Amino acid sequence: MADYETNSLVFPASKEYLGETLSQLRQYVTEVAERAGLEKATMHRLRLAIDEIATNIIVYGYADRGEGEIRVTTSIDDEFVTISLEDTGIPFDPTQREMPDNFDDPLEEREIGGLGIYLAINGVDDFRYERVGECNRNHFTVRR
Amino acid sequence: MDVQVKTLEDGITLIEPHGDIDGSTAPLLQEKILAAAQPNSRLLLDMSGVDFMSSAGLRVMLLLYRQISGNNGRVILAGLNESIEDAMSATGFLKFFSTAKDRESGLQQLRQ
Repeated sequence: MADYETNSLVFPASKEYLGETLSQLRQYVTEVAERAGLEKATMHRLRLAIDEIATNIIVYGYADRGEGEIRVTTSIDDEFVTISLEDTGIPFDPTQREMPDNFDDPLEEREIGGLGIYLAINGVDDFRYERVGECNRNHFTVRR
Repeated sequence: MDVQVKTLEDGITLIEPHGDIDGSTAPLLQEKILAAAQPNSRLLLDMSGVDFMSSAGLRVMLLLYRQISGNNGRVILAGLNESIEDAMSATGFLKFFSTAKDRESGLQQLRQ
């Protein structure tokens, strides 16, 4: 394997095939992690992070349209692996979402919202969002 | 995702999900689990057949916890893998649940 590589793939984003797309994405992330030699815990967190944001894109981002696409781009260099998800759904910046901070509250009183985004942003070494033209881009970076 | 629910001879309910728990499969798990979580019930959720769980699964855990703790029941999560334990710990869920390393030790805890 080369020390530097970039590739890009397109996954369907429709609620009807939510399970298939999420499962294919998990497989994809697992393969990237294996190629890059990521530790298991890093791979698990990256896989979870991408699952959470992809679910949001499919369920909410394209809710008005019913379907769309997610372009997944991976780049691997000596130090980092970055996986980026690009969609043309409604603008949504996960970093602007209020993060839950009630982790010590009894479960009876907990609000459930925001947990997925919390796991996504905190599960990787760097999370970045940008809106470019009609596209949302979510970049997940982990150290190798 | 496949979810088996069995009642054992001593009244313990054993729930065995197999497969990944994500936004597409969590609704089925929720339906099966909440139907099994009756007042006073003793539940063992054997997670050894689950490799992946997202926040959709945490939501089911939260609902299960509420239904059980409000109804004088008990639940034990057995066989959580490192990845699921990590996410449950990061979100403060783990400390509210009793856990066991495998089904047998979970059943022993419930029988005490």
